[in-house]
Amino acid sequence: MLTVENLEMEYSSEQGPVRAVRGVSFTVAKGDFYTLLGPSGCGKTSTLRCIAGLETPTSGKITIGDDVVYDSVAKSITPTHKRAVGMVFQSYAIWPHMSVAENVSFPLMRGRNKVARTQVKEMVNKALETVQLAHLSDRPAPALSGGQQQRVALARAIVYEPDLLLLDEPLSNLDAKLRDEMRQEIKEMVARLGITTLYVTHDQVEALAMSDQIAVMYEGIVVQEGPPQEVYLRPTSAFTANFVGKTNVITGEVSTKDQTITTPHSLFKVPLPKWAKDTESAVVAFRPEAVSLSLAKGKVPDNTIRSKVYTTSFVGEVLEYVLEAGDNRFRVKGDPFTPYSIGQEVDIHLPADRILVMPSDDKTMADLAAGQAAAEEALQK
Amino acid sequence: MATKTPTIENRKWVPKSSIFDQKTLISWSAMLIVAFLVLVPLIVMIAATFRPAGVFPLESGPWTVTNYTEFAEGQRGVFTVFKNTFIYAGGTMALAVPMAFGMGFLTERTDVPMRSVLYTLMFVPFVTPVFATALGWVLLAGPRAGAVNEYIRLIFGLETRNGPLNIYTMEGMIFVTALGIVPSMWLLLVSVLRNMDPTLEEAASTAGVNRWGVLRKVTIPLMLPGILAVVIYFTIAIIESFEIPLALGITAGVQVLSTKIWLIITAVDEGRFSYGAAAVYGLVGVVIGVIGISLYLWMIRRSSRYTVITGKGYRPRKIKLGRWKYLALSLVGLYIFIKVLMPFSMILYASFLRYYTPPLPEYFGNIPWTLDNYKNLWDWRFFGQTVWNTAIVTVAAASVTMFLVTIVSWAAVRLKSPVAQVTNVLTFMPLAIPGVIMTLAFFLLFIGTPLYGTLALIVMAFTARYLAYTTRLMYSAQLQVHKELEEASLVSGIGAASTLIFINLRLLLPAFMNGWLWIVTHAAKDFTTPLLLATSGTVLVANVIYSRFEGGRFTESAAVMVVLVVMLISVVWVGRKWIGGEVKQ
Repeated sequence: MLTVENLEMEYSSEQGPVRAVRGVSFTVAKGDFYTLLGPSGCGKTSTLRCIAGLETPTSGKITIGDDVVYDSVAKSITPTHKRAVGMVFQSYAIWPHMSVAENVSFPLMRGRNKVARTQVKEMVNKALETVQLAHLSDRPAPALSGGQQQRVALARAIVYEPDLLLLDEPLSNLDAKLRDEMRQEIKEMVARLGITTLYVTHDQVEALAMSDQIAVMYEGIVVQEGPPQEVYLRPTSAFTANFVGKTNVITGEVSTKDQTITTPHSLFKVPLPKWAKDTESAVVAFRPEAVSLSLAKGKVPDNTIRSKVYTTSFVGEVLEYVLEAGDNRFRVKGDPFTPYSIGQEVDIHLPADRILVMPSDDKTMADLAAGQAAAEEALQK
Repeated sequence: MATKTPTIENRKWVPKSSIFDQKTLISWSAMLIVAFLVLVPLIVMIAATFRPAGVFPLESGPWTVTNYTEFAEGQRGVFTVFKNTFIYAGGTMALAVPMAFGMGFLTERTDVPMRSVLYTLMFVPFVTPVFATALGWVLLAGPRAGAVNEYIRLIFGLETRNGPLNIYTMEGMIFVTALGIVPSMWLLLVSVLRNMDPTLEEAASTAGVNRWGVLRKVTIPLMLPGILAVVIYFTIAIIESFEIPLALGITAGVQVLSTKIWLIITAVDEGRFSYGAAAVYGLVGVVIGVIGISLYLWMIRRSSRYTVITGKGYRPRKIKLGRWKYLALSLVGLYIFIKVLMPFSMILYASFLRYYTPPLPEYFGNIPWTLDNYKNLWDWRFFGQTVWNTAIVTVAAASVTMFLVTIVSWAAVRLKSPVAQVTNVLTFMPLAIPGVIMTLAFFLLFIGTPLYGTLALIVMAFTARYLAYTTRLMYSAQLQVHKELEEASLVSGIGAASTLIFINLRLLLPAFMNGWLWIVTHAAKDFTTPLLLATSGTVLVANVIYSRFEGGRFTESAAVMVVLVVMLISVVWVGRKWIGGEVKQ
């Protein structure tokens, strides 16, 4: 349905040219809900705007349906208004001089999506019913709440039944409760309409909950692509590991002969990646919820870290611990029905298939830090 | 599942905009129109300086440098003209700046009572034609029959038939001009005063400096660049002003740059016109304007360096005037009385007279009241032709200009292309070109062509003159429109041109109407362009007022002015009401 091939985009700023998108490729299957997830400045919105034709790429190829809308080799470009897309903007961009119905009917009255006058009313009503706003059709746009404006923006984007729906951080201006509600609603709506959707967000919860496929973007490239579970459970990069969910790390020494990584306090038996070299160091990474805890007893088994409870915090569905082992601290989640108290010795059990092995180099550390910073920034929004 | 391997070769390609692309078409045509309006007349004016007397600027024929050598030799009283111009501008500033600053300070920084009434009253002079004020002062302080003179002679028992006041002098011109520019100057100074950070003053106060010390050592030095910028701006405005030098200076024998140009164009030496000589004066005016505007922009940058933006909605500390506040109020009231009430009551009074009679007790029995001045307006085909012409010209100029500047400012804000930026800079140029010289340039460009003597030419000249101000206005309005509002329309399948009309222009309608009204009122009040460009077939209201005035028929001239002011007030009232309703929505 949508194919983006080796897309690059530059724009000039006062500090010189900025390479916003640096060779992005992905394909969205018909009817899929596809999300570009990343911190601000990662190139996700630039990519979306290139697809809409609102920005001009510097190279690459974009195909929507059967139409090649941009191709730097064939040197062809289709202007925005001739592309079969609908789009919801971050600011909603509801035209303030029109009523709700006028906003939604505008695309049908002029330009490419023009339909017969008799049909307009019917199509507008259908779109407004889809977003449950039919009762407000005569209301002037400035008299709408944020959530209602959001619905008008959706109705306006789907009223002419575009092949592709582009959503640019549509939920970021809503308050938390409304955001949860709209997240569910948008997901159901696009599924019901069967419309192919490209969604841009910095919020990992939105991305995980709504998408069929996620592409995690960072510094102008796609660092990982896959279904939500895969991206979350099997991050292939340090950035993803710390941006989508939290990650604990501990450094150890590789032994290719034994297929182990030895850390100061434990021995991990894990399938080693191809790049791992004997006697060199590597990073063992794991999710806070990947572990099971038990009271420390006897000899430390393999794939286990013996630690001491440093702090606990009870948040209802889980107990969050900070556990200490030597100089290392780990954030893990435990069963609230079997609590451990501060100072108790606890064994952290890590099944081999829940461990991610990463190279122990500056890039990994930098990517981990960047992922953490990006996640914190996303939270603050 | 997508693949990461590039499927196509990584070849850069930035699409060249084709001339059939709507955006390119829009920005290029805007640039060509602006360049035609701004650059071509200037070039023709420069060409005209090299043509001998009796030759049109664009005719084939001999070329010469006589105009320059004559100018350098000081023929036609060149030196007197420039001396007069600088005395006129300098004197006006010396009188107007303290008045405007004093009033700005009173209304902004003190607790002077009835502030909102004062604000409203300060805006009244904006709808009154400058020429009407001048005529009012002729009726008040004309050497012989001026009402003030008559009363002074009556009260002090003076034997003379002349004076003691004479408005037909350099001092008279300076007085009337200074009174006239105070409101506009006040408006700009108010914003300078508002941009002052009050904490800087408070810091000085807490350091033990007394109130007047703070004013002298902190307030005024900090505002100095802002005030200087205002002074420079208005000096240029006075150098280009035409109406008062025309109404008072011609009789007084005081010629300044603007009236000199007009006199050279309208006079025919030995049967031969000498446009080249006028063009040289015009070129000097442009040089003065360019220097002045560069200085102005430089000052503006300096003053914004001083501007400290503090939190929103702060109010500077107001100086308590105590028992002086009613004195302060009456000073402002006195200004409004002298500036607006006195001249206009004279004009209103005169418009109902058969012949002008000073309102003195000795004449009270037999004042020649009449309505003929108004009735006669029908006979002159005044409403049928002159008002109609004026309406067409002002409405056309306002509409054409506002459409053009909307597109120019849209392109400058949205497209950011070199073409759009060049156009934006070009629209700045008329700011440095005095109106009388801009009109002269159009005169020179079209004299001898079929367009000369048409309303279209007058419309073009007005468009060129008002381009600069209205572009600033629309540019700042454009910045307020979120770009996603237009992108939403493009994504919905609507082309660039339709988006511009149905979204951008529609959203900017209040700002558009504001600028539109500004042009209509300014063009209707303007005398420069009609007097230089109108011919017998294209008579405008300004021409009628001037010809009656020049022919000594003051009472008829006054009646036309009253009609003009009434029409302007109605247009502004209706327009404001509409804008108010639109903004509220």
